[in-house]
Amino acid sequence: MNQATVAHRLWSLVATSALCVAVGCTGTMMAGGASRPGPDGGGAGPGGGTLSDINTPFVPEPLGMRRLLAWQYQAAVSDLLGADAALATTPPTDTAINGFDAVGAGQIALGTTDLQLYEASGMAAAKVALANAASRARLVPCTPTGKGDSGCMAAVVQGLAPRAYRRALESSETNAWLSLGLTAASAYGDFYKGAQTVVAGLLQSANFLYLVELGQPEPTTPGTLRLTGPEMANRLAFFLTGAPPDALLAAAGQNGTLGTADGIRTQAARLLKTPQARAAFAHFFDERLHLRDLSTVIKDATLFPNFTPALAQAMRSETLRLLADVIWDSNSDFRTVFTANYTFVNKALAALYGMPSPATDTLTRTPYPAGSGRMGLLSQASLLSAVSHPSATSPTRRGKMVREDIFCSPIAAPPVGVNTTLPPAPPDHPMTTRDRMLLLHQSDPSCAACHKLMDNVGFAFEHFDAIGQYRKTEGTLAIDDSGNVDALTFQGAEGLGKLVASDERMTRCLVRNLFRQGAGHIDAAGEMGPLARVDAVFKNGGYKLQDAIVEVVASDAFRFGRLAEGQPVP
Amino acid sequence: MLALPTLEAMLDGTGTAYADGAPLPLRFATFFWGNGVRLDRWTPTATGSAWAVSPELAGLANVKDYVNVVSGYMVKTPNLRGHHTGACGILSGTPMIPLPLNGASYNSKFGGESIDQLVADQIAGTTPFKSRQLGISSAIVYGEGPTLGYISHRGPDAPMKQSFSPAAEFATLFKSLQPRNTNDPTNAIRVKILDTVRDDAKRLQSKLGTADRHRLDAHLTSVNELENQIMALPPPTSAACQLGTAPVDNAKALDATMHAMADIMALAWACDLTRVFSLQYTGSVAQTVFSEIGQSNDEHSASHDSYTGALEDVHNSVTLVMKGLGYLLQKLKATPEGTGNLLDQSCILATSDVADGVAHSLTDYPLVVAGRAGKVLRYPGVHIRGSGNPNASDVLFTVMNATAPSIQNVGSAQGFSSTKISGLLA
Repeated sequence: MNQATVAHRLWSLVATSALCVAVGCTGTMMAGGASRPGPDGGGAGPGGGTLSDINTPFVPEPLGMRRLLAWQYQAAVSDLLGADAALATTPPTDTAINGFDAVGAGQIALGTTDLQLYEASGMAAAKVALANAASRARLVPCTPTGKGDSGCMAAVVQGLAPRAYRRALESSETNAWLSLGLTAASAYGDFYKGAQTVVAGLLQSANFLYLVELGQPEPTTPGTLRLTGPEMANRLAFFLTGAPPDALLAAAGQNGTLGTADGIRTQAARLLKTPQARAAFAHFFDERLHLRDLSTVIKDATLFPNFTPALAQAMRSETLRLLADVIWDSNSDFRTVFTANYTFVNKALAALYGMPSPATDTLTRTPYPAGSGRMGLLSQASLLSAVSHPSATSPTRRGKMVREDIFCSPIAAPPVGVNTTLPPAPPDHPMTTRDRMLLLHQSDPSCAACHKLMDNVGFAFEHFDAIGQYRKTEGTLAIDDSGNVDALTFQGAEGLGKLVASDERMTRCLVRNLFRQGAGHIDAAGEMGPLARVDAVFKNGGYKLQDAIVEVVASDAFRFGRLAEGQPVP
Repeated sequence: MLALPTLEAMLDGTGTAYADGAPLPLRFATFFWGNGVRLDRWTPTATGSAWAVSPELAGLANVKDYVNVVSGYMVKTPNLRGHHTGACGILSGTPMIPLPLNGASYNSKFGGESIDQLVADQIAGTTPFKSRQLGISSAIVYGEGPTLGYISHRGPDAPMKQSFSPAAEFATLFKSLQPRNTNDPTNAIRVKILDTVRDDAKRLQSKLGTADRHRLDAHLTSVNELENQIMALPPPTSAACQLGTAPVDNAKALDATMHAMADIMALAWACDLTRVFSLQYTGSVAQTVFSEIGQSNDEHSASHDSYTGALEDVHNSVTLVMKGLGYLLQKLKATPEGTGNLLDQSCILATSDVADGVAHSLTDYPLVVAGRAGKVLRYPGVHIRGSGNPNASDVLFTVMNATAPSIQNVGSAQGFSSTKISGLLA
């Protein structure tokens, strides 16, 4: 059977089942699938705004409250009560919206199961915090004269509650916790049990569990709210370090230093030098690049017996290590994460890649050997594994990942009512994955409209199997790893890596994703101007990610908001 | 006043009601799996009372009398996106809410409350747990918003998380059955803490915008429910309400996990600790691999017929899921209550997020209605085959109204229904 006959046979399967209907893979997708042209009149996604956006008038978004993410909650408990107390907690999981836990945290309500976990966590952490004399001494700054020593209980509340609320308390608030502590001390006949109850209660307070941002009116711009000093300190601290403000930042929040963009820049640059900042942005990339999925991703054990939990964990660490190398160790051009000709491997990863094994089992910087076909993080095993099927590669999913996660250009929904069956190649005439996809996804122009955007990008990685191992051929068939991103053609993962590195959609998308993480909402049209200014600084400084982070937090979009619907003027 | 499990002495002469004439409690559950079925192997050939279990319904053979199969119905809400529309439409009767994309990934929320929550509002009474959410496979897609992640929703912004751990669920639900030190003030203090937390949140609430105030309302409702759970008195044990051995988790063994969860559901209902469950066996667009029956690809890929033998995998996984449902129904039937059993007093709606996964179709939807809901639902069960694509929300309304007669309609827009399917009624 010749190629044309095979093609006809396969195509007839598709054609007789259902036809794709026309869908919009041409503009920017908006709610409900409607589309609008990009700001430059073309089809660029919102992550793909242009420098002309700088002139778009700034319209701030509403303020409100956001729940601390699970890892931020634990950092806050640790900051308040110590690392042992934090280890005793099991906070509820986060709920992502638009791919961001941080966005879900601004929208999703807590259910009974969540409250139950917070309650158990609060009780457990408080117990650890009061467990011995040394830890007690930190929380109880006085020697109680008895179980009913209200002066000493007040000292406990006054010392701890403002740190838990991350602001000064009103007297009604202070009194409520004092009353709780004394009631519990009386019931237990033990002052310290009363103090422990206060600690357990503060950890369940909405003022602790949420970042509350009410703002203050901005006199020069009616309708605009500016975050208060302490609110800005909290927003900066949780975004940049994943934890409450340290003493210097809290002081800056109190003394007005955070009222100017430069004041914010100074504090942000300082915080970015801390180990907590590295950890916070590791969380950011863990979510953005699907690395955290590696702990649950399932691979065909027969085909990939080497895909162990330890290997999956090493893959995740490898990608985070490369990012840390560029962002923190050298603070160099972020784009080089897509063009790096080296990576960091332990023994298992070296075996997976067919590279010389490092002397120790720690991640060791190692150049890719000539002919490896690899370049940058897109060709690391982590992403290749996370965005594949259990037994097979997926050019569609891999290409979709580049479009959506790297370029912020979402792909329209697959049309419903279409038979999505992708028949296997006839056994008497095997075809590569690429050829099957070109035939079946792209023979019909209406299917091709979206699939060429994904598949033709994902073809870059066809030399890497479902766990990222190099394969010279697919079975006995030669692999063609050429492809294109719109009008730009490339060859293989190296070609795509270079292309992505030089494409401004990548850097603009990154800026917007940073903003989404920090502000807790998807950037709106009115925020285009300030974010375009961040793009410009990022570019002019040679694309150092630390610059982009500092400019995001110094931008008007990060510093200002407006009244939420129904919110009383603060 | 807390609900007590039913003792013989509390019943009237017929054993169908309490001595004071109040009827025995009814129970409700939704049972869900992702990616649909193979309709050619799902739908029974014969209709009416002549029906026989199809290959995919084989697991229900032993409780067939308690099973009504409904086919030919259609989820009427606009099919904007595969899986999303079906999951939201069949679990709530509402159109799902697509979120603005604006350069982020595709996401949606439920358009309204899920039916298990609407029923719980009516029938929970004073039980300590208003409802519980269970999950079997944890390979859930969370990246497309709450619609795919969760099957119980109190509203668009209030998805309810499922527990995948039988051991944890057992510990939570049956805590009041454990021996306790009555001199320990801890539970009273826990309630005091929650009272303080509630007042604290109310002070904050007045400063917030409408959406955040609603969010704190939900938070406060949860605080109230948690207080009820802490204050729950141990139910008097009866023959059926006996605390057995705590289960041990084995997350990789789906069938065993399903059995453990079914045992928990039956015991919780027997002790009247809760009256409503939702159980998500696999999620929408499930990435579950049924390795225990020899499969090596995920259920979603299988449902799109994307490899050789994929549809056979779909058939085998659906058959296993129905075997799990069959185990639950048998367990309920074997648990006595009054002169009958728990299955006489309950209603379980089993369904999926699409009809046929290959095409994301919403016509000829797979629907199983099990239990008699206090002799309101048809027994012995029949196969009802709708013609002309009747509204699947009619099935939702029928089972909701059977369990909670105060409910007069369900859903919104094209998913609205106030029509009962008479053939499903006794």
